[in-house]
Amino acid sequence: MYITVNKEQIDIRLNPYIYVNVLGPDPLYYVELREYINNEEESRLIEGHHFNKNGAYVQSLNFSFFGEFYGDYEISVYKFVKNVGLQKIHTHRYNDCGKLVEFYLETNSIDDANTWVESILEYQKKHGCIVKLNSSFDELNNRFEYDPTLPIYKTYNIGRFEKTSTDYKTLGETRKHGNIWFGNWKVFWSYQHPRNWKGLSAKNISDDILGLS
Amino acid sequence: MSSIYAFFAGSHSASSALVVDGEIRYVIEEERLSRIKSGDDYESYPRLSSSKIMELSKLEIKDADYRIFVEPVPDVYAEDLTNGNYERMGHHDSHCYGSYFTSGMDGKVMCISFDGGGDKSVMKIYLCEDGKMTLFRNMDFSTFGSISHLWGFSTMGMMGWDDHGSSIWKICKDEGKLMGMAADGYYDQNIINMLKTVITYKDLKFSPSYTAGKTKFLVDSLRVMGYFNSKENREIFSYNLQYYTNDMFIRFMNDLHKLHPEYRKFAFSGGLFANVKLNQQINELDFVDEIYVYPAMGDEGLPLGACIKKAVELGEITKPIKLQNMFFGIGYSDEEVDEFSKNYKFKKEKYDSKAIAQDLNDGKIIGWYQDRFEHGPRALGARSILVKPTEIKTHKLLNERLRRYEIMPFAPIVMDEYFDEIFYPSKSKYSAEFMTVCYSTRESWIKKIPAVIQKSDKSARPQIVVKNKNEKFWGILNEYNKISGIPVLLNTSFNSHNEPIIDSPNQAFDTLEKGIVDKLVIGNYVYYR
Repeated sequence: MYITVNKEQIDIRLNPYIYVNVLGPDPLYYVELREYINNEEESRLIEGHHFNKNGAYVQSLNFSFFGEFYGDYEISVYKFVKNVGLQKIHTHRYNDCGKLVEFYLETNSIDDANTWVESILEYQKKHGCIVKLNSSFDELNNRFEYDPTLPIYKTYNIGRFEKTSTDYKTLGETRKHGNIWFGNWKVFWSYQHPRNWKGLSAKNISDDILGLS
Repeated sequence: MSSIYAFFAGSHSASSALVVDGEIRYVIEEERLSRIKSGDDYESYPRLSSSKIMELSKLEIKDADYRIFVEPVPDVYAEDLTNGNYERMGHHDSHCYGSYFTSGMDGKVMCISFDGGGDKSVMKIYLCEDGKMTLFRNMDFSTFGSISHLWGFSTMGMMGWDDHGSSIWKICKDEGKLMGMAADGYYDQNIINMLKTVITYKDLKFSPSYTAGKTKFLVDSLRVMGYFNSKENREIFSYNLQYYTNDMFIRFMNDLHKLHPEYRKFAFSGGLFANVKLNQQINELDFVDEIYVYPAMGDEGLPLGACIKKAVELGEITKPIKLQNMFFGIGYSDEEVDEFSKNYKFKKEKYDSKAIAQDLNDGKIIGWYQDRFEHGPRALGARSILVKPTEIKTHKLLNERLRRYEIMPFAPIVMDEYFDEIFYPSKSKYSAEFMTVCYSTRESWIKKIPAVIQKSDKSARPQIVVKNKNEKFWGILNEYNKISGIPVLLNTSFNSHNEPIIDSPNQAFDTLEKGIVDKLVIGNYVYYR
């Protein structure tokens, strides 16, 4: 989605992970991602850094947070104003009510698929979103009607995904790679799974990803 | 009775400690042996210091009763060093136990640690009495801001980056430069306003969280627009950084006092309290009877704090003690020194305090190398450079020889007996034995010791030297006082700019050979060219 605030054009995407870019005119912008946990009034920091569109002053060209699972996220965009300091120019809190949310089921097991659809229905009831389902089972997919012209607000992949080599910096086990990363204090198992799915039931896996557990 | 090893490792300030039967045996920072300043070393593991302590103590890590790593722990390294047999200790708990149990304070003591973050907290407050510590507040990183990060990332961003992508001034290393520069700046409401968008204080809370990211953005933005190109602007920014830090923290202290007026003694630890100007402001509060700043206030002090906490849990330490000194590092006998000296062609004579005092009075720069080296950031009479404090030109001479920036202030050592005559207020003197608090200088002394007085606010960061704690160090002050009528000397750390404080005798001899010092008092002998 593009939001224009004064001269700044802000590009915020939630698929497959959170991505924010600001198309000038300033050289630097700062983005902070926070999360409301358990309906607390105050959000908690996940990550924040500034970036530059041509990499002239800082290495980052944009803001990305690679976690793909659900969070009650709040994204804030700041600019610098001389003699004022940081000025928040836009805030977006995750809200998919009335919006199209897409779910991919990565399984050939009808049992898994049925279980995961239960979680999706629960999610839909909780959030009030419109569901688009993609699975190997047409009878499940067809249970959900939606307007195909609507833009997709967020996509969730539900499955049993292995860690990838790019995951490690955001894992709870970060330190096992010999690094201590002070930026991200939210511990999770991989970009797709809050917890290690090995040993979890099928229902636990989907509930984890959709923030229902 | 038990032997306890503890370590801190990871991104900076790696160090190792050994406590046996409740007694501090060794504490060594890795940088002293690696010869790379902690802030210059992105990954910092106590490889050399742990080996050296094993060698000196003849106690293998595996044979100790307890092995501890302080959070945050790099697991792979911790497992390698201990064969997986270790326990984890809280970051701020280690800070707090270290400060309270070496404070020597009786009665009610409020113990506060504050830094950039460790075990997901930026601050812990303990209420302490009779050797018992009760957690009062834990301020977690995800919802609380950190003044330490405000300083660290201001330092890091101010001068920009070199061709290799490293910041020119380093976090956890160069914050003192900003503190020094602050003396030459002045109040600017615009800077205060900008800092307020990064962190504010209200109702016992520093917020918002993630001061690191916001400070980086603010300071990078100022640098990109060219603000820091001017020395004057760097000084103005630093002044307001110090001003705002003091303002926030003093309001915090006042709020704590309203909540707990019965606490009038405070023990501090964590990197924030390396800021001696802040410590001065706290010490001058009316309701404060005494403050104590843990001498190794940064993360290098964590292993000793962890050992102390374990010893407390085991009942081997039960009450706060007073430290005699901080000489927990490596020492060398006269015979060993003599062996080192054979690589050089120096003259040598027996140490005579009267003769060295005369040299000091004549303007000579004296290298002072005694005992085991200090633990912590300050040279406290084991690895020091001494100069007479009576001439301002000493600043320039020392800076030239040590290749240091003009902005870095020099500190005095003062005979215990004369402290109140020269400095005020007359409190927290135990902490001042470790050079952790600034004091105001009495008017009559400002012109007598200009080389150790901050030129703008006339403060100084004295180290009180007590005769029965370090007789030799006190003795040279005493002899100099007999000649000059000045019971004060300038004491700066024995190292050149950007180097850790020296460790071995050959490093001291090198400084003599290069002409950095004029004479070297090492053990019971004096060496000179």
